[in-house]
Amino acid sequence: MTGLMNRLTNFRRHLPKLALLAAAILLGLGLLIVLQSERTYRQERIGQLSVQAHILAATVTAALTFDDQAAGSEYVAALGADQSLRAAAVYRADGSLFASFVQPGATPVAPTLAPTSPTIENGRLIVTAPVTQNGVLLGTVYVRTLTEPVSMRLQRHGAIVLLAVMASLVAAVLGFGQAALTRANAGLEQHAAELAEVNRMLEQQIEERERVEETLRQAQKMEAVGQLTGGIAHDFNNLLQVILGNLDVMKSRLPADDNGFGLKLEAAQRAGERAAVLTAQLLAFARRQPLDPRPIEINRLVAGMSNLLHRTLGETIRIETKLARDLWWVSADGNQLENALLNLAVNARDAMPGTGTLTIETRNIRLDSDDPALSDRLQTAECVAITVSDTGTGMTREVIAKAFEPFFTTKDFGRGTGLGLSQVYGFVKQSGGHIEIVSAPGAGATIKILLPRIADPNGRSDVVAPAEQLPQGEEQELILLVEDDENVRMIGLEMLRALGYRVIEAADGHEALHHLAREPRIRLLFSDIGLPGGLSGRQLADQARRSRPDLPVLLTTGYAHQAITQAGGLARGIDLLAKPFTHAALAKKIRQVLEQHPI
Amino acid sequence: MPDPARIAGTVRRWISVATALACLIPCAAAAQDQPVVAAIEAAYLTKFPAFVEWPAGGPTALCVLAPEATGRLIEQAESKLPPDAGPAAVLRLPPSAPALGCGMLFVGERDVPLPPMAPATLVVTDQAADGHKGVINFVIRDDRVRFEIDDAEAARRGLIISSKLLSLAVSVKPRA
Repeated sequence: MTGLMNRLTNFRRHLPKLALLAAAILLGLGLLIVLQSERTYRQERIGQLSVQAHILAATVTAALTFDDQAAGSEYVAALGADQSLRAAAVYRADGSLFASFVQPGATPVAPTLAPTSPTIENGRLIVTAPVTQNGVLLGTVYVRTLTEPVSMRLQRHGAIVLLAVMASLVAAVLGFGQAALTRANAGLEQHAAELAEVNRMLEQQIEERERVEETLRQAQKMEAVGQLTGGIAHDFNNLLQVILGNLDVMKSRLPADDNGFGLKLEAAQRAGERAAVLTAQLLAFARRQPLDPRPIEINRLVAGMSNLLHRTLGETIRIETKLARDLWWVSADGNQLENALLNLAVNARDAMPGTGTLTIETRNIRLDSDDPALSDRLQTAECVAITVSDTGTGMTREVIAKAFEPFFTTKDFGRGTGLGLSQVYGFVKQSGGHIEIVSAPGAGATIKILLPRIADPNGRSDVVAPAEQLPQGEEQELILLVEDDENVRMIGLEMLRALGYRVIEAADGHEALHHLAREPRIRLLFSDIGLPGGLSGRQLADQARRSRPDLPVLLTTGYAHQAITQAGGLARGIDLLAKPFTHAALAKKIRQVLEQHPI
Repeated sequence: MPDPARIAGTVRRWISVATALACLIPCAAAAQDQPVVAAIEAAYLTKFPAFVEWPAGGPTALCVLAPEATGRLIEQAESKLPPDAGPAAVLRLPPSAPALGCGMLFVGERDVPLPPMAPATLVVTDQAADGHKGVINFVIRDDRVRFEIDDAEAARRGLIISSKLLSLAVSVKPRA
């Protein structure tokens, strides 16, 4: 069909040439007809004249035989009735003139003549015929007539010429008309193609718009849910901090013979810690978990999780890692990233009852400018992709659409909290990254996390296993504790003193600044971020470091504000400890900060 | 090849000369013209067969009943014709000899009876044949040798004379 259309298009393209060719052929044919007609006319005239000459030759035989010139002249003169016959003559065998007739005004005949073939010269047609009797040549008859005048011939051929010219004109006009039509058709086809292209682009834009709107609706929904869960979790964190802190204190002061209170305290502690984990997950989803982003090498992190993953997934699940060489660095909270990968691995395990393969792959990718991932929070084209794939049951489109929502789970009642993927989602978004799910029922699932690339920090990595020993403080090390919630402040005070530090407490930023100005021996500022009185923990830290640039600061919050957790993280010299924190976590963090800033 | 034109030209010159002489010496004209007329008639005689159809077909013999000089002129004229033209032969008949084998008979002598002849015989006479009229009879008109044709006699004899020849005759007696 396409070939036929191409041939038709080629034919149309050559139509003007064909029309010109047809016109030329028609003109040529007309000319040929005219020439043929002219030749036929001459032959007819020669034939007619030959007949007259032969009639005369037959008639004049006896006159010529008996040399009767009078009779011969009569015969010749009889031809004069034909006005077109200009002259006629009979010559004897020796060429001498026997008898002749010449119309008035016509050229006289020659006195002698040799027999000749029919000729046309100067518009005169001359025919001769022999006069014979019983095979004996007696003489020659000469007949001369005028050919038809040019005007008559033109008139006779005019119709043919006119027809040929008209036909040529018609062919040419038709050809050029067809060519114009073809050009117009081509233009229309082009316009149609352009319209189709515009329509296609419009449809594409509509689809893109619908997709973006859907994404926006989803994001707004997730944002709303996140704000709700984040607010609840924040308040829970403060409550849990009080509960867990008091449990810690109670446990440390429990006498040896506690009548089993120790076990009950530990049970209460475990429950509190589980509650803390839940609130942490909620905060993670709400992108309000306190993060400590550091440059990390993801390949090292994944490799370091090997044992953990094998223990978590069991022996029936095969684990494959495909780690790209020269993987770029990213800035993220390593612990949260580990949690995220672990969550994904657990989900994958649950989706692969029996056996299966979990694949973790890392690679560098450069996103195209129109990649939908770039329209999200991710604003850097160069990313590190961490892909976690399983060979499990896969997900439907509906499940994928809701997978990141908190408390959404497809697991049996009691097996899943519905917070795993939402925590991963929140963490990735909070880290300036992008996450997407590619899955279909029965085809396994692939979850791809994109984290923006950062410059190579010369090999520095904070993925280091923490020490397990609880470091103690020294009595001369004075810590300024700033916390507006009295209960929380009290438990913090007790924890720090239990660790061997001296503590000055303040309920807001202004009081803290007052203490800092009065007491230069303060070794560390340990402050909650959310403070009343118009001075946040972050602002307090900034003002304190203006007067004492070397003063180490440890901020704590159960509700990391966007200003702190966005790109760039915390300023140098300022560290973060997420609420609720345990005694051990506080001990390690305090010691770590102090050792990083020796006197 | 016969050259009647040349003969005619010669005859014409002779006629011209004779006419001039006749104007100068009218009394001697008749005597002086005799050989010329005889020569013209001889030439005509040999050409007549081309315009005549005999019942038995031609060519045929031309029998001559005339003075010896005339007979020689006829023989000379016949000898100048092409082989297939003219009479098959020229026979000079002695007086009283039958002319049964002749297709043509020329009577150019006075006071001779017509010999026995076949019915289909073209009899040609001249002024000398006093009292005899043949199918073709030579006459002098306007100082020219012409001939009359009796087509009725030709029809009676079973002869067909060409219309071309008839058109040249000074008079034609039509067949019934």
